[in-house]
Amino acid sequence: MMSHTQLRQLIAEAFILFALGAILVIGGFFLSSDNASKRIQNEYHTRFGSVLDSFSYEKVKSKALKDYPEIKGVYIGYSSTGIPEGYVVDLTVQSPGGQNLSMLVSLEYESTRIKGLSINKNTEDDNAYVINDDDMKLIKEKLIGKQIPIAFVVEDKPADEETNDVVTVPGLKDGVYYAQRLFDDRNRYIDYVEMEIENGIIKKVKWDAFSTDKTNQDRSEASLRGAYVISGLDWATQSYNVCHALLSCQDPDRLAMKSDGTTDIVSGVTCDIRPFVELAKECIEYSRASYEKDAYMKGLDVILMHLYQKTAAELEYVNEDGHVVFSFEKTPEIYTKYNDSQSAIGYYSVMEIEASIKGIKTPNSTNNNNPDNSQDTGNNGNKKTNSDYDSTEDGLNPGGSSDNQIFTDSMDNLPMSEMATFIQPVSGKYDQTRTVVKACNTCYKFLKEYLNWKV
Amino acid sequence: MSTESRQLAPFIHTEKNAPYIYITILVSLLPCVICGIFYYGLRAAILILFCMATFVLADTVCTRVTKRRTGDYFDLSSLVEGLLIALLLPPDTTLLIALSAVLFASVVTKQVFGGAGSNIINPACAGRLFAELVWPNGIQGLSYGEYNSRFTLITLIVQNEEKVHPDFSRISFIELLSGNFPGMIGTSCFVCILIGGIFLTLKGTMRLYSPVSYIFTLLAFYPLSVLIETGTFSYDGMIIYLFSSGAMFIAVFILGDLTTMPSRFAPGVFAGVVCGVLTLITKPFLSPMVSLLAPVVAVNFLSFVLDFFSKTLSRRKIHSREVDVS
Repeated sequence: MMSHTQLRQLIAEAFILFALGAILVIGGFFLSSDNASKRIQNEYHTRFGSVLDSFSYEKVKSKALKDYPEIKGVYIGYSSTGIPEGYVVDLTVQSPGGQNLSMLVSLEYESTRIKGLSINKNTEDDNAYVINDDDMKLIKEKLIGKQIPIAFVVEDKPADEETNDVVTVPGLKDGVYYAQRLFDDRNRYIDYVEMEIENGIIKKVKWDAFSTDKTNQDRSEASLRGAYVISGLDWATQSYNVCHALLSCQDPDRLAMKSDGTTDIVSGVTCDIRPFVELAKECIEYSRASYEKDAYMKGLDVILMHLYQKTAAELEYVNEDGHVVFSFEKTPEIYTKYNDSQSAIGYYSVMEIEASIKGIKTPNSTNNNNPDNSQDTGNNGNKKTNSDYDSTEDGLNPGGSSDNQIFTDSMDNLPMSEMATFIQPVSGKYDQTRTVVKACNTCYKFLKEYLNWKV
Repeated sequence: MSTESRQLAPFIHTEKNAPYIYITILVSLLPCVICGIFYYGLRAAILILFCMATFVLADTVCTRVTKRRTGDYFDLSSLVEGLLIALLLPPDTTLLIALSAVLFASVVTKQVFGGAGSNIINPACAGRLFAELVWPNGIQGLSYGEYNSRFTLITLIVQNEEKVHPDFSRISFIELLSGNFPGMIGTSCFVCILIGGIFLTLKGTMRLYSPVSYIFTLLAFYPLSVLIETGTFSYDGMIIYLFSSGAMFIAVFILGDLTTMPSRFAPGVFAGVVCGVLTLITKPFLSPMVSLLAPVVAVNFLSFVLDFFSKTLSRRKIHSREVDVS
């Protein structure tokens, strides 16, 4: 066995070696770190020089990168004076055929215009997507200098759009129409839709909700300020997207709302769009009946007068925006439609309630709002909302062929309304151009999250 | 003779007993451990502790199962072998791969042959080689630069998809000396290895025959080897190979082993030369670590034969001299 003297000596020597080792390692690190950083910068120059020739590069460390597994790294290039010159994004995207395209995209620092594009040809990926130099040159000519995000002028348009025939709901009369829920939701919000029609085409749509508590903000404002949170994008963005989708398809039925109130065909929309679809249909009915916004407001006054013998203004139910902030939930009999067995089968519109109170016949009495979420097939005595389309299958567009069921309103999960540049794909090289554009749009989505851009 | 001074055989006639030797080796490895933990952080520390702990556990279980006498002291050789395996691993090695290396080293190369001091081949060397051969892709994790983080632990569970293959052509001499380049946990820092080697030599627990002859063989034959392989030779390339490949670590801590290398001068030198030549011959065909470790295993097998013939020749010389005198 070891003697105590030996052990003490060894422990002392261990301390000395430990200290010596630590000093040498740390000292060596600081002496050599300058070389190491130069070497790393040289590597960056070799990698990124073709797309962004900066003096130095710095890797971006952001939690947002976790949401974009296709991005391998994002770097900021600096000039010799330390001024940021641009971003370099190293990413791999999938081509339409499922192959991997590894490339570098450089963007201007301020304007996020594309500065350079380069394909990583040294990849060991067996499933690599190959774009030859000539094709890449043509794609670069199309894209460099353009602002991201980018979409194609023609992007998989449905057959009816390709023939330039805009599908519209028949019988629409020009004017501004308005409809609001007669009861509030569990968050005490009352949804409303305002629709402007010109030349028989829906030109403007607004979907929002005001709170029955006048001190609260509207739902869109509350969502932007973080006071109203839903899954997915903020509610204001989702509302914007679904309104934009309606402007494109011109018919609420074509939004393919499923029985749970959601839709799969409008990009970025995960919320319940049932209030929007129902109120939009109501607006369309008002348009057919020329029941404009002013008439609607007067109709509400008639109902209030009937119930409380006072107008909305007298009851101080009108807010700053002119909305009648009142929920009729305590008097459901005024707006609920019952069948013979006294089961609720739908809601009356304001126009119908007003006509009922006044004892007159409605100009074009229809109702498709059904509280038990069943589709209105006309069997319950109600007239169909739209004679052309009938949503008979959950989540599908009515009327279209099976090839034309999905309504395209986005590219790379970005709504068309957000696109900054529209280009024509390189002739005969659609897949190649599409894949490179996808890479550019992926950069945009990352930067949007990283820089916390608002829509 | 008084009863107090009475002892049972075997009698220890030297201060350099087994615990002393193993503690000395552990102490000599301290600078390499510091270097590994400094550059690779928490995962390197965990790998080192894991390998040492599992090696001790595997050795203990084996000796209990075989009901072998465990000795009158704690077997520090397990700690040394575990530490050597960890230092020979890349920093991004998963614990599963490290465990397989340790189990192979402990059970197959050490305990099967009778435990500490009885093994023919170096357990750490064999364990590391086993891991390299069984997990060829899993043993290449050399995170460095932007990919390296001192606090990442995920590589202990899942192997990184991204494998950074170091480009040594731009590494400066100071980086090579200080170990500031991608490498195994403990084999990068030349200065640390040198300090450990000097310490072992001063303490008399390392025979210099094999390590010195090994390094000189590499230096002497490297130009020829590279000329045959690539047609060009540069001194820079030779220095980079010596400092970055792990050859210095192998020389000091594996070829300096008292158990598995020849104990006499001539066989020691011969073993070092053979090891160096084999390394250079296999270098173009095998991965860097395999080309370093496989020759060591070959020489380990050779060393007891070399020792046997060396002792026999030595005895014959003594006998013939005695005859001459008479």
